[in-house]
Amino acid sequence: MMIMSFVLKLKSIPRVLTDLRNISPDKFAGKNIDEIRNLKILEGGAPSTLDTLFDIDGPSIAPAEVKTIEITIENSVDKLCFVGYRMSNGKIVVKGNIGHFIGYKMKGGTIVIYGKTRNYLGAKMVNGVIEVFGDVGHRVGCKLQGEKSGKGMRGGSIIIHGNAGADVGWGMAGGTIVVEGSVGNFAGSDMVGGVVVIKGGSGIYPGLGMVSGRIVIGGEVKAIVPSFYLDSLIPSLKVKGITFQKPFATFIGDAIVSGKGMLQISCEDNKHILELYKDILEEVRS
Amino acid sequence: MSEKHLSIILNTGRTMRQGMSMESDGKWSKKYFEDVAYIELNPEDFKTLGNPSKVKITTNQGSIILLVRTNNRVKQGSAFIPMGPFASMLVDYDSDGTGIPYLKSTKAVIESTTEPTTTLQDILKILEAKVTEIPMMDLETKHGEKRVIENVSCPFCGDVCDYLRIEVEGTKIVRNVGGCAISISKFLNYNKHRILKPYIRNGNRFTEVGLEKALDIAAEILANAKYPLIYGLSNTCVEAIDIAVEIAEVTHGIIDNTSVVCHGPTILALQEVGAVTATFGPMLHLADLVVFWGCNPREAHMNHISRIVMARGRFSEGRKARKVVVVDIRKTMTADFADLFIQVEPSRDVELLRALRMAIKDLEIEAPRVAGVPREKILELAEMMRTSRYGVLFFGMGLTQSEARFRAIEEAIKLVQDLNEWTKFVLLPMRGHYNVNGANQVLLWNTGYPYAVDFARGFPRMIVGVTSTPDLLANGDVDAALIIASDPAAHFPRKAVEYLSKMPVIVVDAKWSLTTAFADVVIPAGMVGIECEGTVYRMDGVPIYMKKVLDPPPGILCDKEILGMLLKRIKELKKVGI
Amino acid sequence: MMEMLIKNGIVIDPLNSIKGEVMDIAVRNGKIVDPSEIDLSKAMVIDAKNKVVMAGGIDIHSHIAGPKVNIGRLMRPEDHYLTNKPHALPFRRAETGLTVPNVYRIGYGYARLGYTFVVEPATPPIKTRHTHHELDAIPIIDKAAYVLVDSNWMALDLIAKGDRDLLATYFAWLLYTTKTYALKLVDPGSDFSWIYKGRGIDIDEQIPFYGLTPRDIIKSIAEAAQILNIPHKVHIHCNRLGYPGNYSTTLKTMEITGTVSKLTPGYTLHVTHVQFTGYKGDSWATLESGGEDIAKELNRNPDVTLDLGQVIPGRPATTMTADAPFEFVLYHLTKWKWYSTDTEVDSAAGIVPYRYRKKNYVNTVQWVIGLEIALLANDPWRIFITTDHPNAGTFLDYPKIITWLISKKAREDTMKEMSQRALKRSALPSINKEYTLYDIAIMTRASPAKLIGLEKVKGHLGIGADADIAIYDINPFEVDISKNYEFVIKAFNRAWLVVKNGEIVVKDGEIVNTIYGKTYYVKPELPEDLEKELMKMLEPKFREYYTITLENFVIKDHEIRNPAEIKIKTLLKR
Repeated sequence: MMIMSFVLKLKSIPRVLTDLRNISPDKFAGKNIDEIRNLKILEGGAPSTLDTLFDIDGPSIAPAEVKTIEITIENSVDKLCFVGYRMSNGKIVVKGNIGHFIGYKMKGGTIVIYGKTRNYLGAKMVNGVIEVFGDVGHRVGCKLQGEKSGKGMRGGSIIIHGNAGADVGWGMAGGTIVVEGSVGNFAGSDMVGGVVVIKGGSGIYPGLGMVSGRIVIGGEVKAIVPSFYLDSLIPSLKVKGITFQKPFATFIGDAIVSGKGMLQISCEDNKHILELYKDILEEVRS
Repeated sequence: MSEKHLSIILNTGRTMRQGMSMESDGKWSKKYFEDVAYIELNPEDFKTLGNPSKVKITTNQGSIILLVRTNNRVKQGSAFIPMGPFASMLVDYDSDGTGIPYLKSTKAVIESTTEPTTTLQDILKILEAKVTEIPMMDLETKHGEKRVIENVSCPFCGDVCDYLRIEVEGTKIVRNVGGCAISISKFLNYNKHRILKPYIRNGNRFTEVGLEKALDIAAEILANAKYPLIYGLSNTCVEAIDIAVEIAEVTHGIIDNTSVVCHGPTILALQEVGAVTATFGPMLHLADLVVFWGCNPREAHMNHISRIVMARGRFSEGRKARKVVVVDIRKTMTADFADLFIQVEPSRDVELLRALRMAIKDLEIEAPRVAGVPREKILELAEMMRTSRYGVLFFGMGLTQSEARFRAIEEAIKLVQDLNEWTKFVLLPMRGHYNVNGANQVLLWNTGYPYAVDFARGFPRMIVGVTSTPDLLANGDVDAALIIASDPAAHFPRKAVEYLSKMPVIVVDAKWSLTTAFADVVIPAGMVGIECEGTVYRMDGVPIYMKKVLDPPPGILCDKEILGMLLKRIKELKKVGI
Repeated sequence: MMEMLIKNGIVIDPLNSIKGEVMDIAVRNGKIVDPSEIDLSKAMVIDAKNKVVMAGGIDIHSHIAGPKVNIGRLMRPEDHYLTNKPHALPFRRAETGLTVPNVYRIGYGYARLGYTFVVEPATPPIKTRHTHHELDAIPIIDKAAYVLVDSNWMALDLIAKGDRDLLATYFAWLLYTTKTYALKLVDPGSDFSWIYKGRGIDIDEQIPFYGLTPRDIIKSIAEAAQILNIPHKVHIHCNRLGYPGNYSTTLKTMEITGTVSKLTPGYTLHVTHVQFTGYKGDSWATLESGGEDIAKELNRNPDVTLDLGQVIPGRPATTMTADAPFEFVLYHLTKWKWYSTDTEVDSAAGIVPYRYRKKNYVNTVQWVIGLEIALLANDPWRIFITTDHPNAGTFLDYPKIITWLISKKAREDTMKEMSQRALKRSALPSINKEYTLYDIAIMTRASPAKLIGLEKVKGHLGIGADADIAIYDINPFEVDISKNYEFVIKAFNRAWLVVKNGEIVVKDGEIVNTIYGKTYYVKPELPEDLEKELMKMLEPKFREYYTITLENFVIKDHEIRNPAEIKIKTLLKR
C-alpha cells in the first residue's frame, strides 16, 4: 500500500482557538492540492482557508482510499482544535503541541502526537488509535456534558506517555485508555465498560458512578468513595499487556448504582485507604 | 522544612466586611484594601510560625505578602483570605475541564517575613495592568425633595429582597429600611466612585470622550475581533442581557456570565441529573429541617435566614419548629446558631454525601469514618433527614468551588432525589449575584445553554473547559473582551487576569472596578435597581421587575440602551443591519 | 404595510364554509380585505395555483415558554448538540434543540408549519413574568398563556369558603395581573397535595388540610369561569395522569359539565392531552385503550372539548408538566434525569426525559388512544390536534398526525412497525374513517379560533380577519391524499408561503423575516366595590403566603412587548 503524505507546516500562529476539522484523511481524500489548500477553517468565528495558516505540500491529488493518506502537522501549537474529527482511516502525525478535541468521534485510523494536547482528546471515540508522547488535558475519551453514561469512548485505544487531567474515560462504554503517568480526579467515572490503566497515581474518586468496566491504578489514589466494597487482594496484576509486580486490592462498585465494575489499586501506595478497611481486610485475607 | 514554614490549605470566600466595602468605598479604596488584604490563621499555626505580623504565602501561581490575623474558626492546617485581588494572585486557574478554577482548597506554603506587604499597585504591576491610576470621583448628590419609595428590590445578592423602603432627599439616598448591612451600604453609597464619563485609554491614562465616539471604538473592536468574549452580566437586568446575546451572535463570539465561577458546577450537575427544588414559599411554610452545606448566609446572604428560617410560615412556627444543621469545613457564623454542626474535611464532601445516600438506602458503610465524620454521626443526620416533614438543603461555594466541583452538587442532588422516596426534601443553590440566575435564564431561552456559550460556527455551543471564560482567558484563546457589570480582574485567578492586558477590553459599568485598570474603552452605566429599571430573577427563579428610585446621572444611560446602541453599530459594521 | 393579492389558491376556510374553492385572498395593512380594494399596480401578486390556502394554524396547547420549559432546555443539552441550524442574519437567528428548542426554533418551527398562534398552557402565577419574557422572545407567532389555579392557596381558601363571586373576582384579578388568557387545572389539587404531603390524588379523594376533592375544585373553578364570561373557560389536565385505569377519572371529569350551569357562551370545560388520561387496565402489562369510552362520552356531551396529546412513536420527548407527582412516578421508570419544583403557593412542576418506542407495548397503546378518540368522534369541531409538546412528541411532527387522520394507509404503514400484541386489543385497525383536509382545517384553525374566542379575527380568511395565511404546495383534487399521504407530509412540513400580519415570513419553507407577534390576554371587567373587597382579603393573605410583595407580583402593561388586551364583560355585579 502506497502511503500518500501531506505535510502541513504552520506558517502563521493563530491567536484564537481555531477549528480545523477539515484536517482529516477523509476530508483530503479525492481532492487535488488546490482544493485541499482551500479547505475551510474557522479562526474563532472568522472563516478562512487552510492555506492561510499552513504551507501545504503533498501529491497533486489525494487518493480516494482514505487509509493511504498520512497528514503531518509541523510547528503545531495548542490553538489548533478538532483535528482528526470523525476520521475513519489513515494517519495524522502532530509535531508540537495541539489543542482541544483531537480525534473527536474518531472511527478509525491513527493519530500520533509528539507534544501536549488540551482537553477532550478522543472524546466519544468509536475506534482507532491515538498515541501521545506528552501530557494531555482533561476529559480524555469522555462523553459530553448531559449525555447518558456510556456515550463516551466505545472502542479503540488511547495511549498517553505522560500525565492526564481529570475525567479520564468519563462515561466510556468500551475501548482502552492507558496512561503512563498520573491522572487527575474522577478517572473512569460513570463508566459502563472498557478499561482504564493508570501506571501512576490518581486524584479523588476514580470510578465514581461506574456500572461496569475496569480501572487499574498503579500509584497513589487520593481518595475513594465509600460505596466501593473491598472484594479481594491479589499479589500481582496483568492487564492489556502491562504487568504490575506488586499486590493490588480489588474493589467492586459503584454500589450506589448497583455497579459491578472493578477498581483495582496498588496496595503499597494506598495504605491510607486500606487502613479504613482494616476490619474487613482480615475477612478478605482469609 | 524550617519550623518557620508551614504547609496549609488556603480557602477564599466572601465576608460581610468585604461585601460592604466593595459596595460602599469600592475596590480602589483603602477600606476595601483593609478588608481583603489579610490572611487568617489558626492561633496554633500562628504560634508555630513565631507569631508573625506578616507572612509570605506561596502557591504554584506565585507569592504575596499579607498581614496576619488569627481566628479560632480557622482549622489548623488551613488559612483564609477574603475573595478579592489578593486571594486571586494565589489560586490555580486550571478548571479540570469544568470551567471553574480551583477557588477553594489551594495548597500553599506560608512563612514569616519582614518584607513589605503587597499593595494593590504591586498587583496591578505584576498583572501588567494598562492603567494604574483612574479618574475616580464621587457623583455629587444634591439635597432636595423628600421621597419615600416602597417595595424597592435590592440589587445585591440572590435573595432579591423586594420589600425595602428607600428614603431619598433630592438625589441623596438617606435611608434603607429592610435591607441588610450590605444592602444599606450599596444604596447609601450609590454615588461613590462612579464612572461619570466615557473614556478611551491613551497610554497609561484615560482621556474623556463623547459617548458616540466611545461606542464607535468599542463597536470596531468587537466587529473586527475574530473571537470576542462578552462576560459578566450578573449585575444587570434581563432586558440588557438579551441584547448582549445578540451581540455575541452577530460577532460570532462567546457570551458568558459569572455563574461560570460560582454556581456553574450546580448548573452542570442539573444537566446531568436534574434537581428537586422549590421557591421560598414552601420552605417558609413547611420546612422543619434546614441544612446549610458549604455556605455562610450570615455573611453573604444576610436576610436569608430571617426571611426563611426565623420567620413563621402558615404551617410552621418558625425557628423553634425547625432544626438547623450546618455542614462546613470550619465553624462559620452560620454554624454558631445551628442545632447540629458537622465539620467535613476540605473537598471530601462527595464522600460524606455518598455515605449519607448509602445510609438512606440502608447500604452498609464499611469505613468507620468518612471525610472526617464518624459513621454514627452520618447515620444520625441521615435519620434526621429521612424523618423530616419537609427538608431543605441550601448550598454554596463550599460545594461548587471544591475540588469535586459539579460532582459534589450531583451527589447532593441525588441525595435529595433519594430522600424523596421517604419525605419531601428540596435543595436550592445560594446564588451570589442578584441576577446571575437571570443571566442563565436569558441565555437558556436564547441559546439552549446557561453560560459559556459561543457562536463561532453560527449556532450556539457550550463546552466547558473550552468556551468557559477562565479557560479562555488563562490560555489566551480570545482576542477582545466586553466586560459588562462585573469585575473579573478582582476575582479571577491571576493567569486569567493577566491576559486582559494583552488584548483590547471594553468595560461597561457604573463604578470603577479593578477591571477598568485593563480597559481600553470605559463606558459609564446606570445602576440597575437604583437608577435603571429592569427584570431580575431571584435565586429560586422568581422574576421581579426592579424599580428605580432615582434617575441615572446626567449623560449616563442604562445598560439596555448602551448595548442597544452598540449592537446597532456592530450590525452596520458587519453588514447584517437592516 | 403593503398590499398583497393571493390568486388562484384552493381556499379551505371552515369558519366561512369554504371547502376548497379556487378564489383570491387580498391583504392590506395586515388585514384581509375585499380584493376590489387592492391597487393591482402596487400590490404584490402571488400565484397560489394548485396550492391549498388556509388561515394560519392555531395550537391551543404547547409548552413553549416559562420556567419549566427553560429548565427543560437546561436538562437536554444532549439534544442541542445534534440539532443546530446556523443563523442567516439578519433574517434568521440561530436555532438549536429538538424536544426543547430555543425560542427561535420554536417560532420559526411553527411558522414553517404554517402556524401563527400558539398557546403556552401552564404558567404558575408567581413566575408568569418569566413566561412572558420567553413568549416575547419567540419570533413570528401570536401567543397567549393559561394560568395555573387549581393548587393556588388563595383559590383553595375561597373554594373552601364557598364564596363563588369572590372566587370569580379573584380570578378576574389574577388573569389581568398575570396577563393570561384562561384558567388551567393540572391534576387538580394534586400539586397542593404534593407540596404538603408528597403525593397526588384522584378526583374524589380529599386533598390534605382543606378536605376538598378535585371534583369540588373543578366545579368551583368552572362555575367561576361561567361568571367571568371568559371565552376559553377551564382547561383541565385530569387527575391520575399516567396511571393505568385513569380513563374512568377522565370520564368523571367530563361528566362534571352536568353539574355546572351554563351562564355564558362557550364550552364548559376542555380536557387536555386526553391520551395521557385514557388508559384502561390495571397495570402496565394489562394496559388498554380507553379511547372508545372517551369518544362515546365526547359524542354524548356537547359541552366538552378535548385535545389529543398524540404520541409520536420512535421519537424522543421531554415530559414536562405541572403534574409533579406524575413526573416523580415516571422518574422511577426511566431512572435517569428528574427535575421537580414546588412553586410558592401556586403550583409545582416536573421534568423527565422520555422516548417512545415503536415496538413497545405500552407506547403502542398510548399511540392508539389519541387516534381512536379523534376518529371515533362525531364532531371535528370539538377535537384538537396536539402532542402536548414536548410531552408526547414535538410539534414538528404535527404533519404526521394529519396523515394518520386522513389516511388509513398511513395508519397501517405505521402500525406495521408497532407492537402487534397491543394492536390486537385495539379498535384502531378496524377504523376506516378518513378525515378530509377541510376537517383538518377545522381542527387546526377554525375551532381553535372559536375555542379561544378570537374567531372574528383569527382562524379564517374572511374579510376583517388578521392576515395570517398559510399556503401549502399540494392540490387535494389532483393528489390522492389517502393513498399518497407522503405528499401531505411534505407539503405540511414546509409551508410554501406564510404570511403573518400581512408580512411574508416564510417562503419555500424557509424563514425570510423575523417579526414579532402579539401576546393576547384577557381583562375581565371588575366592579370597583368587588375589587375593593377582593383587595381587602388579598393584601393580608399575600403578605402571609407569598415571599414577594403584592406590588411586585403584578405584571405591568409595559412589561409585555406587543400586548393585545381583550376586555371581557363579566356577570359580576356590584
